[in-house]
Amino acid sequence: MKFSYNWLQSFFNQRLPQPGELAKKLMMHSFEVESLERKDKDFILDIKVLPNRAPDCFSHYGIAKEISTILDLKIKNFAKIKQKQLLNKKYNLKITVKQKENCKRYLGQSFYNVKVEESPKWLKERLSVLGLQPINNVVDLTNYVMLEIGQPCHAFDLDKISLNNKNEKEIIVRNAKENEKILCLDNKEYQLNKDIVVISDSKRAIAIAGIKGGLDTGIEKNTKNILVEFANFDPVKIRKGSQKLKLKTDASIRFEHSLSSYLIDLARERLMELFKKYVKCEIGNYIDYYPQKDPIPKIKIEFDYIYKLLGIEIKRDTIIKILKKLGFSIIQQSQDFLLLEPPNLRLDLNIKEDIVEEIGRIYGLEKIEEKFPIVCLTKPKENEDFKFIRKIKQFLKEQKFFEVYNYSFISEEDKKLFSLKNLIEVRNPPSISFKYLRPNLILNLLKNVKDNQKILEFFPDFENEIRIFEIGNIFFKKGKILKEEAFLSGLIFIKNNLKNEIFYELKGILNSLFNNIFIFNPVYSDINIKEILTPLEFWNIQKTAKILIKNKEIAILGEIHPLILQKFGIEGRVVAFESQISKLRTLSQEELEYEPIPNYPPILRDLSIVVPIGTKVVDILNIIERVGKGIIFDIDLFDIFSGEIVAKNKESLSFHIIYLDKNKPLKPEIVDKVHNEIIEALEKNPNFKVRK
Amino acid sequence: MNLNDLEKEIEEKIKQINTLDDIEKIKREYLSQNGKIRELFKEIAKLPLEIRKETGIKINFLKEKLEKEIENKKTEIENQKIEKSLREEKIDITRLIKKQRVGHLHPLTIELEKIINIFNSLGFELAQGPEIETEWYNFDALCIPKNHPARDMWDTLWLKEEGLLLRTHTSPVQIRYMENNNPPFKTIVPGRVFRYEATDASHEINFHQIEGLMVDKLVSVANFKAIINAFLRSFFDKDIEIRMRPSYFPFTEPSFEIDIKRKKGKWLEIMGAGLVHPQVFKNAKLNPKDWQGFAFGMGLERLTMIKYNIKDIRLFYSNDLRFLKQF
Repeated sequence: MKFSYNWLQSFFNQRLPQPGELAKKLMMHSFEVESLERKDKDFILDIKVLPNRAPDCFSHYGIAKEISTILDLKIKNFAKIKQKQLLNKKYNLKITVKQKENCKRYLGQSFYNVKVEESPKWLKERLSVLGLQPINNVVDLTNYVMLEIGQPCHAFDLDKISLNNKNEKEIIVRNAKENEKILCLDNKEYQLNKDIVVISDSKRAIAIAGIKGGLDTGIEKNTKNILVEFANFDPVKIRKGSQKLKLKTDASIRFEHSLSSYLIDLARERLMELFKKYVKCEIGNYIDYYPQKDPIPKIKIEFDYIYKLLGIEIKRDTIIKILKKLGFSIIQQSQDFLLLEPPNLRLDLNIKEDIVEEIGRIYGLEKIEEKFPIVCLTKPKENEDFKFIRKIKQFLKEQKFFEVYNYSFISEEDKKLFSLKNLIEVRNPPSISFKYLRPNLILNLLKNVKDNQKILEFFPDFENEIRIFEIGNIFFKKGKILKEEAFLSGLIFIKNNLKNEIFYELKGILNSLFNNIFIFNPVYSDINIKEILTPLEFWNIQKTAKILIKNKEIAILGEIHPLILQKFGIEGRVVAFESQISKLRTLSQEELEYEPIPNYPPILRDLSIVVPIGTKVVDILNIIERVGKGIIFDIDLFDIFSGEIVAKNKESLSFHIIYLDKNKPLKPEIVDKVHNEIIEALEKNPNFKVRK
Repeated sequence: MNLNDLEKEIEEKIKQINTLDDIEKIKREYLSQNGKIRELFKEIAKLPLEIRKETGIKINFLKEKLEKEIENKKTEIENQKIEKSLREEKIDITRLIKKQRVGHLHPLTIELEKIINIFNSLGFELAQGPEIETEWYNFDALCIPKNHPARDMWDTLWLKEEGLLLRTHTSPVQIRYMENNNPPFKTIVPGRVFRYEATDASHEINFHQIEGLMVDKLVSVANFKAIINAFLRSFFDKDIEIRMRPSYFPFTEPSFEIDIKRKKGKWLEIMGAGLVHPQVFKNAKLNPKDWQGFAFGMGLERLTMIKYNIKDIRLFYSNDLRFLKQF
C-alpha cells in the first residue's frame, strides 16, 4: 500500500529521518518497504503492511504510530469536537440492520447546507500523489479520512434518500435480493445476489455495502444535505461480495481485513474537524447503530515467558516502556507478570505470544544473540526412503543419465492425443497446459527428448544419444480414490537407427541398477495387457517386457511405439522404463552377505548354436544351466548374427561359458565332458544345431 | 691364459659394447658353459696345490666383476633406449581427442543434498508428506481460516474433488509429523509445492520448499537464530551477512523473515520463520503448555538461484541439457 512521506511527517513536530533511513527502520521493526519513489515534492513509500496489521495500519495514522514507537517520537493528536455543536437537525434518521451478522456498527453523520466545490490545492495534492482522482471537497475529504485513519466512509446525498412511512430518512443494511441490480458511481450496473450486502433506503439499493456507492445518491455540484456513512461490515461478506463482483476498491480491501469498530469514533471526529475547516456546512445530527461494543481482551504475560520465547533477558522497565508506547494499558503489574489491555484499534493482539512478538520487534530482533539450544544429543534417524532414492539417482548418473525435473502437470492436449484415462483434474488451472496431474513420468520425458533432440549437435560426445531419468510423484484415480505414487522412469533416445537394439543396453543398465539396490534375479517376460499405468499404446509390444522379481511385477521396459514418437515429433528411437519406487524398496534386501572369491581358475569354453529366428535365449540358457549345474559360473551371450553364412530364417548365437568349481580345481576332461553333454542336450531339439 | 691379460681384454670389450646383442656376445664368450672363465676354472686343477685356492678366488672375483659391469652396461643401454623412445613419443597435450560423457544430477537434487546434510549434522531428521493435501492440513490446522485475506498469501490450485488441493507449502507436514511423533524433535521436510501462478522468470506453478521444525521444552528465538545462521554460513559462506526482521504467518507467533546479503549485493529474502503458534500445537494434539519450538520454510529454487546467479526459475523445469550439463 502506498504512503506519502510528507503526510507521515505531518504527524510529527520533529523531523523524520530521510525517507531511505525511515524505510530501513520500518523494515527492521514493522513492515517491508517494497519501493521508495520520488513524486513531485514528496516521496511515496510502498509498504507491505502485513495482513494481520491491516486493521490498524492500512492508514497513515497507523504507520505514523509505528514510527512514533520505533523512533520514540511524540505523535500529534487530533482535535476533539465538542458535542454541543451538533445541534442542527433537518431530518430524522434511522438505521435498520436486517441481518445482524452483516454489520456490527453503522454510524450516519449528517451535514446540512453543504457547499460542494473544488477541493483546496493541498487536499488535491495529497490524494493525487497517492493515485486518487480528486472529485469535490466532500468526496475528497471522505477519501482523505480513509487514507489517514483507515476507516472507509461514504457520503450520500441525503435529499435523494427516500423517506420511509414514518417520515424518517431510513438506511437499511440487508442482503441483496437475487438478481437485484444497482448502478454504481463508476457508471456500471452490477447484478447482485443474496450473498452480497447492500445499503438501501426504504425503496431501493443505494450502495453495495463496503464496496461501492450507488450513482443516484452520489454527491453532485448542487447537493445540499449529506449523510456520511461510517460502518463496520462483516469481512467475510465483503470479501466474498468483492470476489463475486470482481470489484476490489480501497474500501473493500480494508473491510475484508477486518476493522475495529472503535475506529469509527476516530474517523468521525477527524472528518468533522476537516469539514469544519474546509467545507461550508452545518454539522448535523447523527445516528449510531452499535448494539454491542467489541470486547477488548485482557492478556496476562509473565516476564519469564518473554525470556523463554525470545531467549534474551530484557529489562522490565524497557518492556513496560515498549508496551506503553504501543498503547497497551497496564491493568495490573507484579514482580512476575503484567495484565494488559491492548489498544482497541488493534485486532491482532490476543494471546501472550502476540505480546512477545511486539516486544521482540520493537526492542530489535537484531539484538537477540545467537544461542545454541541445550538439548539431548541424539543421532538423527536416517530416512531410508530418501537414502534409497539417492542411491538410484547416483547409479543412473554413473550410467551417463541426466536427471530432469518436469512439471507435475500435463495438458488438455496431452489427454486427447494419448487418450489418457483416470486423470486427476485441477479445478482452476492457470492455463490448459496445467489441467491434469501427470499420470506417468514418461510423457514429459518424451517432451524433453523432443526439446533436446535439436541441440544434440552441440555435444558430439553424446554420440547422438540422450539418456534422461526422473523420480517424482505421479497421480491417478483408482475408482474414486486419488492416488499419489513416487515413480522412477528413464529412457534412452538415439537419433538414428544405426545402433543395435538399445533395448538390450537399457536392460543391462537396469539389471546393474537392481543389483546396486540389492534386488536380485529379475525375470523379463512378455507383458500382459492390464496392470500397466502408462497406456499400452505407448509401447511397441514386440519390444516390451515386464520385469518380475519373486513373481511380482516391478517394472516395465520397452521401446516406445513409433506412432507415439511421431506424435511428439521425435526422430529416432526411444527405449524407456518405469517403476514404482515403493515396490523396488520392499524388494530391496537390507543385508547382503559377501561371497568368497573363488580360489581356482575358471575354464572358458565357447559355444555357437544356430537356431530358428524367434528362439528365446532364456530357453537355451535354461538347458545349459541345467546340464552344467554346479560347475557353471557364468554364461555370456557375446555375438548374434544372421545372414549369408547362416541359413534363411536362422540366426547364430554365441556364448562364453565360464566353468568353475568353487570347491576344487576343475579338470579340463570334466569340463569337456560336461560341455559335450550340453551340446547333446541342445541338439535334442531338431531345430538347434551347434556349430563345430 | 694370464688372468691379468684376460681382465684387460674383458675391460676393452665392455667399453666397446653398444647394443644388447654385444652384451649377449660377451656373455657367450666369457660366461657361458664353454666360456673363457669356465675354461679357467677347469684349469685350476692343473695348478699347484698352494696357489689353487688363491687363483680360484681371483677367477671368481673376475667373474663377479664382469657380471656386474655387464649388468651396468645393460641398464645403461636400456635407459638410453627408453629415453630415445620417450623423445620420439612426445604428444601434443593441448589436444582432446575423446570427450568422456558423464551423467548429471539436477541442480536442485545437488543443492537439496547439501542442505539435508547440513541439517542432518545439526541433528535434524528428514520427513516427507503428500503433495495432494486436504484443506485441513494445508490451511485450517495452520490457523489460516477460510475466506480470510491471509489465505491470499497462498494462491491455491484446487482439485476437482471438494476440499482437496495441491499443497501450497510444506508446512502441512509439520502437523502430520507432530501427530505421528512425540516431541522433542528436530525435523527437516523437503518437498514439491504448488501455486496458482502465471509462470515467469521468478514464478513457477510448482517449486520446492524445505520446511524445518524443532520442538522441545525450551526452544527460543535465540536458538533459532543460532541454528539458521549456522546453516546459512555453511550453505553460502562463513562471512555471509544475515538479518532477521518481523513478519506474519498465521501459524507462527512471533514470525520473522530472514534476509541474506551476498557480497556487496542487495538484501535477499530467503526464508519465513517463527515460533510455532500455540493453536498449531493444539491442532496437532500437543499441549502448548508443555512444548515450544520454531518452524521455518525456504525455497530450494531460490537458494539455488542465489548461489549460482541463475536469473530465471523456469530453467529448472526446461530440462535443457545445456543447462543441466553445467552442474
